[in-house]
Formats: sequence, structure tokens, C-alpha cells
Amino acid sequence: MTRRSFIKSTGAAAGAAAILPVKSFAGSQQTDRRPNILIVVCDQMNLDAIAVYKTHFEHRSWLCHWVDTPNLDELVHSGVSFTESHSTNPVCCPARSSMFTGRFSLETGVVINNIGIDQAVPNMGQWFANHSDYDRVYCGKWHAGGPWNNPSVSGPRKIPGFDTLPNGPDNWGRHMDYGVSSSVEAYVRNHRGEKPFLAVAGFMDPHDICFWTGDLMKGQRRITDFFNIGETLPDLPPNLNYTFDEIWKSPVNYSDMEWQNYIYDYCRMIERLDRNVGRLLRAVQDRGDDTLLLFTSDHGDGVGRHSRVSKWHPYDESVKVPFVAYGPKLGIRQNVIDTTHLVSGVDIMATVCDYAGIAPPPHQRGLSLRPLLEGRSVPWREAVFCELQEVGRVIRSERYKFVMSYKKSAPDARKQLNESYLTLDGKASMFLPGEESRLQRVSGTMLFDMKADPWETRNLAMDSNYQGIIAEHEVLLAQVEKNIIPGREYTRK
Amino acid sequence: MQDLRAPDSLATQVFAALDPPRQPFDPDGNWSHRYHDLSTFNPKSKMGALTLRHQPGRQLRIVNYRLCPNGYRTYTTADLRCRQDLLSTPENWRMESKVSKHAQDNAYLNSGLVKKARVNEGVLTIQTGASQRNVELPGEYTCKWCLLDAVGRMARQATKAISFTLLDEYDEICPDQHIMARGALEVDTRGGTIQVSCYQHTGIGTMPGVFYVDTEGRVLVYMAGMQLLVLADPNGKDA
Repeated sequence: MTRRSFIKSTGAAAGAAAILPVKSFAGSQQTDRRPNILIVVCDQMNLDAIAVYKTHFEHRSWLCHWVDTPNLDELVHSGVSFTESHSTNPVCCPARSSMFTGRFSLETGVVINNIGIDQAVPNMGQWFANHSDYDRVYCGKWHAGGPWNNPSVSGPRKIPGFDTLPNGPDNWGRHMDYGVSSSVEAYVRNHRGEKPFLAVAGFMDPHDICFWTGDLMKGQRRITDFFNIGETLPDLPPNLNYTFDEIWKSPVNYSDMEWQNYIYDYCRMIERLDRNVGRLLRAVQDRGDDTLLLFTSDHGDGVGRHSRVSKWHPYDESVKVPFVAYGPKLGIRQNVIDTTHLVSGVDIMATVCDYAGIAPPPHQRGLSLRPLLEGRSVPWREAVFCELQEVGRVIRSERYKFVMSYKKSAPDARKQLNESYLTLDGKASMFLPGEESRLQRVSGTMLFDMKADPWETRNLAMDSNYQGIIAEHEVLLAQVEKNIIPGREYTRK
Repeated sequence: MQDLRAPDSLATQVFAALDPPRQPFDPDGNWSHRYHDLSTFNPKSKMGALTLRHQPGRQLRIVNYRLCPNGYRTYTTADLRCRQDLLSTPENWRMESKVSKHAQDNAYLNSGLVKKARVNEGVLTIQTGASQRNVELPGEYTCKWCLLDAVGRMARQATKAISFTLLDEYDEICPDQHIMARGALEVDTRGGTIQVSCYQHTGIGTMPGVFYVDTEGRVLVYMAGMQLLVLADPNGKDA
């Protein structure tokens, strides 16, 4: 890829600010129809955890070989799904802040968990409230307002712009997801009137797997209860015992049996999620109208790959997420698995605005997926941008994944949230768009050839044959970063 | 399965705090079992409650609520007519779900839903409003929370293993379910040492879990992944 080709493509992609949304909006087929919109967001689901993907992920270690997901399979068969779908920042709050604003988490101010979106950045509910007549309702996990998951119907924990279908208790998929599916199913089935609806169902599953490991507070217990259950356990991933050096180290020392149990349990959570998605899919189908349904996740889970659990790191098991769009009566194609276009959670805002017939908020970093869903040929981005923890960066092009990180200004970045970066002269700083060379970097750059090495087992960053590739990806990164408008946290306690 | 002999296992601690019922139990009679719905991650934090109320003639009412912000709750109430078999197999049922502050309140913000279901010659028919769905349901089956009745019956009859299809809550199909006996143990409780039978449950969409059943056929504790149900009030009131 040349710099010229990237700039050509990113004129309507990652870098452009005000130009992109207008261009994208104007390029769509506008009608007076304002479809209902249902966005289903799950938590910590890997892209390969849909059974029907067996034909695309043939290795037996991919999760699709170990799950039973008839409803997600039907969704994939009935819509367009993407196998190059990425989280904008593989952590709950940052990823969700991007989905519901169309901005990078650097810009929403939500660069880590448990903080809220910059007040100057409108969320989807607020934008639709001001620019459309949609009824807007949110149910389930939000986690982009502060140190809490589920919104209240009133008070500081209500999501601005959305009515709330209350759900709880906080944090646990086992306990709240059926409530989310039954409530949103009812809402979708019962909604009548002239106004269309914008509804969001935020499932916790399969995030429950986080409680199998991790730090504990007083009174808490790890769930890990591995025993000989007499069932066939999943194959271990081929990159379980990776060997290269990297800075994102947080491997878990499980035995093979423990890893297999962990993956087995994770698969059962996916199946539980599938049943909850099924209720919503049938509610949409039974309406018989042109409701748009989008399904995605905020990030994935380690599931033993690179000896990892959870997210936070740059590997595909953390960064890749499922993305399926359904709307046969809207002209969305059926049974299309798109394996080429690089898409991102940041695209959701532009997409739903496009279908709703309204311009998206300014400074959109995402693209409307509508042309892809309808099978129209449009210029598309050649690279997708992800953030990592507070100061890391990922550029994923068609073939390569490039990973770097700036240096944090403090070990506990939460104390320096708006000044997470360290300048060359040793001062804490906010991000400096266009002046990144003034910021310190850490060693530990990574480059993976995702076509030749999909399990990310060989870091090519120190190979002299790949220095040109790295330089090209540095240019891509700079193109994105120069347009960043840094945001500041606004936490609602 | 947790080691009931290890003092630091959660199962051991749950039983140590349990005051088990002592009265005789007739699974075919009038009874109700009210369970605290807890999390194994934070066992002292109450999530909600689940109540089974049984009447002769195999009528089962199952009421489940979970706590939500602002004093709201998600309620699910199911009335099932069950067969007289090991799985308490439901033949027809009506379930209602809603969000409200109290059980008798109207549903908040379009959240109310009623589904009616029946199974006839291996076909499950679910009616939701004007929509009807027919799904093949061959072989043995039951609903998720009917298991709290069914596993007690298995224990009374010393059933070793059973395979079936599970309806997640009351409407979504999870095939390939297996419940098998994993032996009997003596455990210490607040009321003294008692014997419990252990039944392991695995399957599609099911976290590996264990039902602990007393010698009368009452499920005292159910532990699966994050979920912990503890019998709190035999012959108590509905949720």
C-alpha cells in the first residue's frame, strides 16, 4: 500500500473529519422511510464464536467448532456479516463510547473503563432526540457513563437521550440477560404508532467469563470450578504457548485441562447469549416490517490464545468482534459473509444515521456500512485504527497488523486521565495531534502478517525485510492521529 | 464440582449457613420452595428470588424476579401443567414477563409480554400475541426451572442419568442436556449433618452445575457458574 492510496481512501475513512459524514450520507439512497432500528451489543464475544463460520475458520481450535448457535447462524444467513470487524478499543467503556458516538475513544475521553463520555460529544440517543422523531430506549449494559453498567430511569445514571428499560442486577449475564431479552422483545413486539424506534439491547454475556479470573475484592470469589464433567472439551489454540517478547504481557498460567474447561464454559455462555438473541430476532421477524437489526460486541476474549484471558491486548482474539446486519426489507443482502472490507465499531453511528435519514454528528470517524450491506461498490478504507488501553495504537491493513505504544505519564493512568502521555522532556501531557514526535514511545513494536500468520505467532517488527511495511503503517497511523480532537472524561457517579 | 469436604469451598460454606427443612416432603402434594437467587462471585449479594409452587395434579407456578435500578424488578411468572414423570415435563404453559416495581403493577414502558405454549406429538407451539411458532421438540424435554422440581424426583427414585432437551427459561431450545448422579455425601449444616445427593447438569447453553438434593427429594442448593440458588423458605410465599 502506498501513502497516496491510503490518503485517497482515507479521505472518506479514518482521517477525514467533517468531510466524511456528509459525503457518506449524501451517497446513500435516501427515502422517506425511517426504519425501526434495534442494536444488539454483547460483551466479550469473539468473532469466530458463531457456528456457521466453520466454513471460513477451518482450524478446529476456532470457537465455531465448539458452539451451538442456531439463532446467530440464522442472523448470518439472513443478513450481511463481516469477518474483518474490529473493536475501536478492546475494553468495555472505550469501545462502547465509540459505538454510540462515532468517535474514537481518545475523542470521547473514555480511554479506560469506568469513566464517562465527554459532554461535548453527543451520543446516539441525544443526536436522534435532536434530529429525528425516533422513540429511543436503552436496556441492559451501557457502561459508558461511569463506574456502573446499567442505566437508571432517572438521575445521573440515566443515559442522556434515551429512555431506560431498567434491568439488573449489574454485572452478571447469568442474572440479567434474560431480563434484557424479554424486555426488549416485548418492546419490539408492542411498539406501535407513527414514530419509529431506536432500541438498544446490551447483553452482558459472555462477559461472565471475566469472573473466572482476575482480581478480587473483599467478599468476592472466583468462579473457577473446573471439574471432570465427562463432556468433550474444546481443542487448545495453536498459539497457546507463544514465545516472542511483547509489552502487553498478562498471560495466565492454566494447565491444559483448565484452559479447556475455561473455553468450554465460555462456549456455553455464547450459547446462552444465542438464545437471548433468538428472542429478539423473532420479535423483529414477527413485526414483518423493515426493522434494521445490528449485532456486535464491544471486544473479544483471550480464550487461551497467547495464554490470555479477557481483552486489553492487540491480538485478534481481543480486537476482532462479530458484526451482523439484518434487514431484508431494507435491501440488506442475505447470506453474505464479507471477508474483505475492514469495518469497525466506530461505523455504527454513521450507519444508523444513514438509515434514519439524518446526517451524523460532526467529526465522524466511521463510515456508513449501508453501501456494503446493499451491495453497492464504494471506495473503502484500506486500514482500520484501534486504540489499546490508554496510549497504545493498532493499525490493521488488509494484510498486516502494526502495534505500537506511547509511554504512559504514570503507572496508574487513572490519576492522569487527561494527561496520560509523557513528552520527550518528561512532562505529563494530553495527546498532541500532529505532534506525536514530541511524545515518548515504548519499545516493543509489533508487526504481524495476518494472511500468513492468522494466529499471530511471529512478530516481524525486528525483521529487516519488513521495515518498509512498518514505515508505511507509521504513515497510516499519523494520518489518523493528526485529525484527533482529544476529549475529556465526564464521569457520572 | 466443588469439594464438599474442603472447608474453603463455597459449597461447604453455603451448607454451613443453611438451616435445612426437617419436615417430610411430598413432591406430589401442595408445596412451595422459595430460593434466594445469589451469585457465586459475591454470595452475600442478593440478585432476586425464585419460587416454585406445586399443586396436586402437577400444576406448577414458577415466579422469578431480579432486582433492577430505581426499585424496579424484572418479573417472570409461568403457570405450567406438567406430566407425572421424572422431568416434570410441561405439556402446556403460560408465561408472562415484565418490568415493574411490584408484581401487581402494570408493565413499565412496553415491557410486558405473554407467551402461551403447548407440546403436541413432538411439536412445540408458542403463541406470542398474533404470532405463532412451531418447533420440533422430539424426545424428552423440560423447562429450565422445572428442573428444581424434576431433579428432586430423580433423587427419590435414585435415577442415575437422564438426557433431554432443555427449554431455556420457557421458549428457547437447548439440545443435548445431561443430568447424572455424582454420588451422595454427608454435609454439615446449621441444623446438623445431613446427607445430600449430587446431580450434575451439563449441556448446550448450560454452565456445568450441580443440584444438591436432600433425602426427601428437595433441591437445597443449585450451583452453576455464577448462579447460586439456595432454598430459603420451604412452604413460603410467592415472590
